[in-house]
Amino acid sequence: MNTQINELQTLNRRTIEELVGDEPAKIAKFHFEFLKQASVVLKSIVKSFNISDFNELKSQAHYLKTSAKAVGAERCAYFLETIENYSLDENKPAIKQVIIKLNGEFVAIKKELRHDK
Amino acid sequence: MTSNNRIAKRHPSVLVLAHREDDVQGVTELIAEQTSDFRCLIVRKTALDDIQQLAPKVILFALSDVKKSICLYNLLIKENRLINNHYSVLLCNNKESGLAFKCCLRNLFDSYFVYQPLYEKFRLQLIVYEGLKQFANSDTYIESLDSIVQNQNEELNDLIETGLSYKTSLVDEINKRKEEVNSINQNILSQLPDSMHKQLMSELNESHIQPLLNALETSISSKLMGLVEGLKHSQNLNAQLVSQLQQPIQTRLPVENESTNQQSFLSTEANNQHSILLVEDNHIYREMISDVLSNVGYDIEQVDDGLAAIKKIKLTQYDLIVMDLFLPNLDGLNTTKHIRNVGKNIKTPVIALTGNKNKQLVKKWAEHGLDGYILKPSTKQEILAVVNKAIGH
Repeated sequence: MNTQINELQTLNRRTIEELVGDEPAKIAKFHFEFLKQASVVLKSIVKSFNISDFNELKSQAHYLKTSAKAVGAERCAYFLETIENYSLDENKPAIKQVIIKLNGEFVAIKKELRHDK
Repeated sequence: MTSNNRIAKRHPSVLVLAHREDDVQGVTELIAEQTSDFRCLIVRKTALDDIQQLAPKVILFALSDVKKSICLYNLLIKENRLINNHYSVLLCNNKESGLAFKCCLRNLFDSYFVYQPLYEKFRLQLIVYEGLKQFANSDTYIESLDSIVQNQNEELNDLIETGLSYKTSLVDEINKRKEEVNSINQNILSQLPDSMHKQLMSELNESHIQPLLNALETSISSKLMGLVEGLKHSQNLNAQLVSQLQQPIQTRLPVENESTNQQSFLSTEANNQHSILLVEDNHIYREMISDVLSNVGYDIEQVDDGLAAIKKIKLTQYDLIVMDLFLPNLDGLNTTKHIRNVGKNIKTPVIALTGNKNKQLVKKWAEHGLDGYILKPSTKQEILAVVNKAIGH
C-alpha cells in the first residue's frame, strides 16, 4: 500500500489538462469547485462516521472520488477508495485514520493551489 | 417623633427610610400629626431584613439622593422583600424633582414629594392618605385628616361639604339616566314588530345584497366563459399533438416544451445535431464531460440521478445516453433495464461511466444492452472516441 501511495501525486495537473484541455481559467474554476465540494462532503463523511452509517460513508467517499480523479487529486482519490473498502468491512478505527490523512491531503491541495497563484 | 418611634407597632403602616434622622425630621413630624402608625428607619447594612420584617404598606424613600432611593427600592423589589400591594413614595430635594416626576411617570413609584425645602405639608399628608386609602383600615386616617382640615376654616369646610354633596348627587343622576336609557333600548328591541324587521331586511337586500350578488354572478360567468375558451384551445392543441404522435418518430422531438413553444413543437424538421443524455451525480465531473462533448457540437442534456433520467427518456428520444453506474435513487444498471423496456429509447445506445474496479458490474450491465464504457476520469480523446463510435460517426 505504501509503495502505491508514494507513486501518487497530490495534484497531477496533466489529468485535468487531458480532460478539459489546456485552459488555465477553466482548470482553476474546476479546482476551486472541487475544494468547495470536498469541504462539504468531508463534513458529511465525518457525520456518517460518527453515527457509524457505513453505507452512507461509502457512498459519500465514492461520490467525491469521481471529482478527485477528474481534477488529478490522486492521493485524495486513493484515500477515498480506501474509505470505501474499509466501509464494506465496517472497520471504524482504520476509517478514522484515513479520514485524518484525507483531511491533511485537502490541506496539501490548497497549499499547492495557493502556491500556483 | 422619637416618642412615635418608641411606641411604634411591630408592623407599622407607614415607613420612612432615610440615611440620617435629621434629614427627615420635618417629614416625620407631619406624618405624626396624621397617624401614630408609622416608623422611621435609618438605612444601614441590615436595612433589607429590617424592612422585610416591618412589612409596611406605605413606604417613603428619603435617602440622600434620588439615585440611592431608586437603587434601594429596586433591590427590595428584586429580592421580594416588600408586600405586593405596597404604596411607594419618592421624597426628593427641589433640584431632583424632575427626576422624581419621571420615576412616577414611568410607574416605578406611586407618587413623589419635594421635602427639601418642605413647603406643602398638606400635600405630603394627602399622599400618605392616598397610600393608606388603598388598604381596608383607612377610615381612621380619614378621620384624622378631616380633623386637620377642620381646623383650618369652618366656612371653607362647609363649601367643601356642599361641593361634595353636589358631586355625589350628579354622579347618582348620571348613573340613574344610564340605567333608564339601557332599559328603554331593551324595550324597543323586544317590541320591534316583525313587519318592521322584514321591511328593514328588504331595504337592506335591495340596496346592498342584490347588487353584490349581481356583480358576483357577472364575474363568475365571465370567468367561466374564459375557462371554456381555454378548454377549446387545449382541445385543438391535443388534436395537433395526436396527429404528430401518429407520424413516425423523428429524432429529438422535445415534447416537454410544447406549451411554451408551440411552433417549435409543430415543426416536423429533423434536428441534425446529435443529442446526448448525460446522467452523472457528481456535478463537477458532469460539467467536465458536458464541456468536452458540447465543444465538438453535441447537444447535451444533464440529469443527476436514475429517476430523473427515466423521466427525460419517456419524453424525449436521444441519440446516446452516457450514464454513471452508481447513481442516487436508481443505479445505472436498473435505469438501463428500464430504458430497454419502456419509452422511446429502447434502441438508443448506452455508454457507462465507471471506475476501474467495477469490471464485473460493467459486464453484468453489458448483458442489458450496454454499448461501451468510459473509465473515469479518461482523457478528452478517449471520451470522444467512445462516444463517436457509439453514435456511428
